[in-house]
Amino acid sequence: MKELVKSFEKYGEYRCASCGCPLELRKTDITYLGSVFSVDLPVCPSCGMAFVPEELATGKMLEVEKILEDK
Amino acid sequence: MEKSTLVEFESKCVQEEPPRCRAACPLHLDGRALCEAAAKGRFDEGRKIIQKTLPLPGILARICDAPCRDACLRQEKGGALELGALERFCADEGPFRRPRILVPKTGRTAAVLGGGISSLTAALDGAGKGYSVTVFRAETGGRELLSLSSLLTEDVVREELEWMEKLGVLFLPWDASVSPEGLAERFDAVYAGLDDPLCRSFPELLGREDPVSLETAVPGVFAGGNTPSFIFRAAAGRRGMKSVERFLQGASLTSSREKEGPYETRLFTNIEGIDPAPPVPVPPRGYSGDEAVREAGRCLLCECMECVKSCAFLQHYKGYPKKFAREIYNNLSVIQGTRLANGMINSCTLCGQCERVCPGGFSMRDLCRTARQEMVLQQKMPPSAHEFALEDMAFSNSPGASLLRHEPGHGGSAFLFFPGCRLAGISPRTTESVYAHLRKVLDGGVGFWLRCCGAPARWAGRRKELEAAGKELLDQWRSMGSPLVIAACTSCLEVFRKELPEVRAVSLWTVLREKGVPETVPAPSAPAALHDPCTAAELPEVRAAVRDLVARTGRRAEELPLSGELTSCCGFGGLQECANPGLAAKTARERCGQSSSDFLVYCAMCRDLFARTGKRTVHLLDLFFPPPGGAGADLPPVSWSDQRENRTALVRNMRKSLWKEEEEMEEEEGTLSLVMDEGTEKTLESRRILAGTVRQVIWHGEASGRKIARPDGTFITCLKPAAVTYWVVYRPREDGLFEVLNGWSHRMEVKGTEEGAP
Repeated sequence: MKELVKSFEKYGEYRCASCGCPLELRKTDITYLGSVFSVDLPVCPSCGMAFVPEELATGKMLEVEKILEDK
Repeated sequence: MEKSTLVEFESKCVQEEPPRCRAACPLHLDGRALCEAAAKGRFDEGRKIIQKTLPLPGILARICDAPCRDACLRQEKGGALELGALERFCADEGPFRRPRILVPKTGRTAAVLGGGISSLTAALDGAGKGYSVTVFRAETGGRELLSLSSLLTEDVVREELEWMEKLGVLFLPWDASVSPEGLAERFDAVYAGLDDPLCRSFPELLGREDPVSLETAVPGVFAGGNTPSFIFRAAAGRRGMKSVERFLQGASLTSSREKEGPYETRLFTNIEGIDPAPPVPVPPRGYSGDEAVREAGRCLLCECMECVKSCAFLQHYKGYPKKFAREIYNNLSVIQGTRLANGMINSCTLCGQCERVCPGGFSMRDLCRTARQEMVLQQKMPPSAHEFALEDMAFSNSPGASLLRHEPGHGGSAFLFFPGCRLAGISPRTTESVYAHLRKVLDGGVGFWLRCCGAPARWAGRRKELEAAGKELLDQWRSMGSPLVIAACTSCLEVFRKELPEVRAVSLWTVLREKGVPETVPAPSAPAALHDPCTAAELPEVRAAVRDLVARTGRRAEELPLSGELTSCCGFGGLQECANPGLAAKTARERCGQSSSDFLVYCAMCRDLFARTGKRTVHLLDLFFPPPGGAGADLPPVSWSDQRENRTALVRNMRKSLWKEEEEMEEEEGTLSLVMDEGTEKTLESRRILAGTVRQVIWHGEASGRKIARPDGTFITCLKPAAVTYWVVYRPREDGLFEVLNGWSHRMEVKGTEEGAP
């Protein structure tokens, strides 16, 4: 997971279209079926809009969703 | 699920019943396991199996008279297994290495009269139960054992007797003072082996024993084994010592002992297609290793697995219904922990083939449907399992995708054509053609009723949603004057018949058979394999009508190995395709692999799932209403996105052309035009991201300005219309179109992605 988050640094090139700020890694709350996690995600430092990269959504996140659904 | 429900389900599956050889053996030696080991040359394993079951294995394995032969199923295919000779080879090939198990002494004493196999078995079993056992036998006992068969040697007999002594069995010489009555006074209980002539000299023991308990006229004295069969002598000794145990416990001597001796097993084994093979002859010296391996290899390894053989789902989960029933019961009982069987429960196609091929009628359909309903009630159904299908159901009943009208120019309807979501989505062209044809051949007004029948809710175990849909269906049907419903889809027909019996419904195919079909010009073509949809398995009249209609096209139809009431599902049934798309593709591929011919189907979903595997498949309606400029088998599969768009377009077109209704203004987002390459389209389809959803996401991103700009000039935006958050990568083009580059989704809720956040 740490390596995955490290790889999110590349999204620093992405900018929030409305604020113009480059995205920064920030602790962000993720919840599902009553469980709460905190993950470093690229976020607009001005408006707080978060970005969920494809590799997270289709990888680790999907895996955890499935585990929680079977609890 | 109640425990009694589990037991009822379990009792129908015979896979765990013992093989015939084991049931027929009075000591229940597992001949199937022995053959399985021996066929691989694992004779050490064979010896373990023998010594686990047989007392005096060194003796009995060599002289067993193998009554299992009469029960062996191989008899019908070349000759019964030579199990006795295989036991003998195992015994000759190496030593029995018995672990010495220390049994705590109970303080009880048992006397055993006689030195034959029956007595020695009883003595061994008594020692195993913790009794102090004393055997009274003639001093020549060992020699008498030797005389039973030339296959026994002094060493073998000595080894067995020494083993008994090691276990603490005391051997005392028999003298004139020994009598059953006298021993009954000195010991807690007595067993007399009647295979020993000395025991037969007591008239009070002979011929008077109870056949079940072997109890004699003398209280506390049991006797048996007066039979020429060595293995039955041993079985009598075992039975006698079990009676001693019950006697000492004050328990019933006769209850629940039906399966102690030979009995008939319920195990079913299909031997169709098995080539006959004669037994490997047994030379006087016994088998060689090679001969033993060959003979053991003839064993059919009896098992049922009838349902598993033809079901990709059951094969995938590596088991059989009885095992699955236990897993499902446990799954439903989990309070804290992982529910390991969720995926399995939601992957069954609910086609019912298993109950029709099962000799006991086990229904995975009933089991999985019950489990799904219970999971929904417990609020433990994984949200992702059926959501796509349930959303599709809601979409199908939305104003833009549903339609209920009397025939144009009619104030009422004698009939109501119900095409179903799949046909309307996959082939709006034939939906319109069939409706036009029905209006031509039927009098009294043919209404049109496009909406979902409720099958997805029924398959998903959502009774509440199904009942709500049922109520709406009934209200709509009554509002049309309760006409006869003509259902194009057998799944819809099944829902009407099972859930809404008040609604009079028939199949389109029986109507077409009766009222006629458009003339077709028979094209010279190879025969096609006719596949019945699983929901037609219980509709013989529909299957007959279809065969009759196929004959009218002039096309020759072949029957698949499992057709008619035994037909297999295409992979869509039971929402398998929704909960487990990979398995559904396998289900479809396996079905398609059953014939190299093109397939001919009469269910739109079967047509689509088979076409997705690349199988040339034609829908029967495409033979009567051929597509312009091509054959039905060449039509491409239709994506989920296109199915939805086809349904809304169909509703729009029919309203305009038939009912002359003005088109309402579309939502602006619906007008947004997308372009994407084939790869992106495939990615989105596999991730179940519909074109309509992509439009919605981009529309909101553009309208709100909440989007991420990438250095290459493309944008990423997201939207969470309901439970799922969708992300789309796109590029606005100068021509006003939006080029879609990628898309993904997640169910987890992420702070900062919701609309209006933060």
